[in-house]
Amino acid sequence: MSIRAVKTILWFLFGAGLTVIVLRIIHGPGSVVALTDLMPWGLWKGGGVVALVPIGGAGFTLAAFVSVFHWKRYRPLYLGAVLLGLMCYSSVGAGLTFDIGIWWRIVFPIWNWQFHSTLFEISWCIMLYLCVLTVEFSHAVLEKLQFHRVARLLERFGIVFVIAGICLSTLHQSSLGTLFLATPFRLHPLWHTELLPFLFFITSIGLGCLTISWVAIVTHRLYRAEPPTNAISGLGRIAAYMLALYLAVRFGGILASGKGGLLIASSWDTANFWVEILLSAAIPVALLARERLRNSPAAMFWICSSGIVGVSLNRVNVAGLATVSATNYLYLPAWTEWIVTFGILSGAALVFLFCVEYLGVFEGIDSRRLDEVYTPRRLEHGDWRTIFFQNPQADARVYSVALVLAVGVALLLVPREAVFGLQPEPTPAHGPRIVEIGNSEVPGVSRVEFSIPPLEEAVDGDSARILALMIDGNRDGDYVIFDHETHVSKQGGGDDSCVLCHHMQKPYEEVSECSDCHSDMYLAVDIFDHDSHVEHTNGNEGCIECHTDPAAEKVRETAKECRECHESMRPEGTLVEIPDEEQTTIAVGYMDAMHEACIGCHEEEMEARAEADGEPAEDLTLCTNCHRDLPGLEDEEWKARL
Amino acid sequence: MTYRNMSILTDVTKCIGCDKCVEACREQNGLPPDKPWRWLRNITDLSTSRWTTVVRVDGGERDRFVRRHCKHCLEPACVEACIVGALQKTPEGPVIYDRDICIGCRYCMIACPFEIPRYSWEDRVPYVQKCNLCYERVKNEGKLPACVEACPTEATIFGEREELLSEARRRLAAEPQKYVQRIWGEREVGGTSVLHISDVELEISDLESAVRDERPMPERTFKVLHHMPAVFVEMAVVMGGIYWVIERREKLAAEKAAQAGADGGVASPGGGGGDAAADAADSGTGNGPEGSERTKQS
Repeated sequence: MSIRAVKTILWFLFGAGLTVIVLRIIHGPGSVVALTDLMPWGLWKGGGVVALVPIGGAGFTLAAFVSVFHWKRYRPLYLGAVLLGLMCYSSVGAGLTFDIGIWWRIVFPIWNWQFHSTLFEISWCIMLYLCVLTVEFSHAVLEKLQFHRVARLLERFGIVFVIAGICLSTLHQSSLGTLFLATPFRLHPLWHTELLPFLFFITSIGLGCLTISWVAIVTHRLYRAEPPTNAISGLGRIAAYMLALYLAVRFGGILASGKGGLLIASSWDTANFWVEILLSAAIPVALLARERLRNSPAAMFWICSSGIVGVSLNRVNVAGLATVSATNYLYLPAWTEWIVTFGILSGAALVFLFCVEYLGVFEGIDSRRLDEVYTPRRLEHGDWRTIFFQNPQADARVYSVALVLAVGVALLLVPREAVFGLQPEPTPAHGPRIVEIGNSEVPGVSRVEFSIPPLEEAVDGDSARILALMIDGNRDGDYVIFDHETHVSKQGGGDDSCVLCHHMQKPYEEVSECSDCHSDMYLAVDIFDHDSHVEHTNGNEGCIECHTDPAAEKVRETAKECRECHESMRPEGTLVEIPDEEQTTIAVGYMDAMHEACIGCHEEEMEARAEADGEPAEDLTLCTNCHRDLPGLEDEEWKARL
Repeated sequence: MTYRNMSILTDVTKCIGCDKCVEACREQNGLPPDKPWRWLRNITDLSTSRWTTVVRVDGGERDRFVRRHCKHCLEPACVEACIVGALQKTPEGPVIYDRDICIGCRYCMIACPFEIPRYSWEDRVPYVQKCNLCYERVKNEGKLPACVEACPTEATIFGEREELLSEARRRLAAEPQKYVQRIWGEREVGGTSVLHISDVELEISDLESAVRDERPMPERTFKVLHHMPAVFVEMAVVMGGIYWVIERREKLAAEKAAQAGADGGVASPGGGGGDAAADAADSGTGNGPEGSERTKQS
């Protein structure tokens, strides 16, 4: 594939990722991620941090080989590895910034110290290592900018930075494993082991060798240069040793802790385990053992690809995929998460290619090669392609188009939450239902009693069976009898009254909940109307009627008690108890009133039965005694809802 | 009144599932009404609007109601995990959350063995949400936690952990045929401040039912983490040592080569060859090929 095509794709992905990042900044992470409380770490943490850090392990691995061990065979890849590390860790930083809930607080660990937190240690290591990588790589930039004196100064202390970088990497590569020692109940036993920190560390060395080889092969191929086969072949051998060690320790640990049976269990996790082992270590080790394959860039490309995918799968498993069977919650990243991940990586790749082109990162890719790959194709004179592509700014023009197009495509495709902010799921209410109820007038009291289901026989007085509409008006699963006609007439009737509840084609239409108007249905309400009292006591001169002590502050507590004027606060025939021994103008809310209307009799009945039988009666005060017997609704449905 | 270990004991046999504790908690903490957000499996799950909830558990002939909220572990995993120390274990017992420094890494949610902390995904600036055992309310106003005060059946009671444990043991002993002889929260992951007794086995959440271990969570990571400074120093010493040894060996070899090459000519101890090799080793590219060639010769 031509370098132009690759860069165009990278610019496109970068633009799309950037768009989603901007939306994420505006509306918060919840608007673009598919995470839940049960799976709070997703692709951005598992892929963008836990898996990307060992890929960046190439930086410290090659630094150790070249600068400390003086293995000069690997020098051609050294600067590339440092740059790869720098790009990976920058991507980790960027990804993490937008993954955490409050992105501008990414710097808080600098001054809020918490030495017991693994994450605190990792964040400090990564911050410091990013500085080290910058210093290590700055040499190339300074040379390019002709700041030779500064470059030489840095060079003199180079080894200090190299060793600091190796130590920091040892710490955070292993600590990424320590992170998941805290999840013994979450993580599948095939992955959860006390050896996690060690396994993470040795795989990061093996993976570091494979990633820089992969990157070198791909980059050289892009610029049609010969990759440094000697160095790549050597790295392949080291990777084989490290991954073989990893295999031995991993299987040794599993067998030693008596979990061997899980290796042959027929479960999703076991299949996942074997795929991971094959890709990450078994296949690479088997193939890397052959020198012929190690010396072939094409073979190395596939071997490295397998290793990179496999070890990344290992990290993703530990960070989330292998916890699915414990939490019983499957999370699939939203495409917006993928595009942000790819966008950040594409941005890093573009910077990487820029450095390759201008800073001489790989010796094989020099100005002659660049001229070769960037030579404009022969185009027909007067053709639109010629006009578009032969311009000196042609490349920039194509990339800009890709970027703008990506922004547009991303905006078109993002879910509505990402653009308009999060909304609750639309109307999960169960549909209305018609029920038959019995209503009977109780003699002597002006009250109508409903019974659900209708009584078989009329007890006293007139009884009728009527059809009533029941709706789940508050979407909480509690159906109530709903009198539609009264609602229409109370709102003045006519078409205008409909929209008060049914919004008639507004965006994101949802029917108003009952509590939108009946805001007091769950609350106790103040039934005291001060204005009306003022009116009835002749305005200001009447204050003293209630606020009897002129010296006291005129508040409710110092006023006359209600019942001194209103002898009975309790309306005739009400079932709801209102405590009239104390000053109160607070009436119980709708729900409490309803509950109290019922539960009192239930309690009385229970006591009566207990007295009659001489032993505790069946508990009649359970919610389910009333709520589950609603007609038309299966018992299972109630259980599911409660 | 100061407490040594504020705790809550919930007797599942007494809970009627009326949700009064949920409403009281909502009012006390100013939580929003329940909404069917995408990430909620069930609207009555623990969420931003429910720091406590009542879970219905299948109990054979009749279902049981089990309160679920932060357990305020004696050695909390979330406090150990928190990157900035936004979660703190107070001396009085409750694990409290400081929203002013939380960065939203959500490691507490991963680390919690009981899957308690929730995240307000719906907010532009989201925070972790969990029960704080009404820390301020109890400490400053001397009241009971809102949920305990609201409970109509005294199914959930508040007090010192030791007292509640002995009360729980008293109840278990008084009606041994009724209760399962276990106090949930007594020893799990080192003990929690929220205790349950019940007449059926409690399988509250998928993850929680897996918690059988009595080892406190924090030691699992700190056991490894506290070696890190030593590892750093050791690694630095080993790498520095290797570098020094190889560097010196190359320098000596270069000197020897220079002497052999000059053969009585201009004697230059520590001459150019060694420096160039060292330079090349440091800088990486600089004069890479030359350096490597020269060292190969030497």
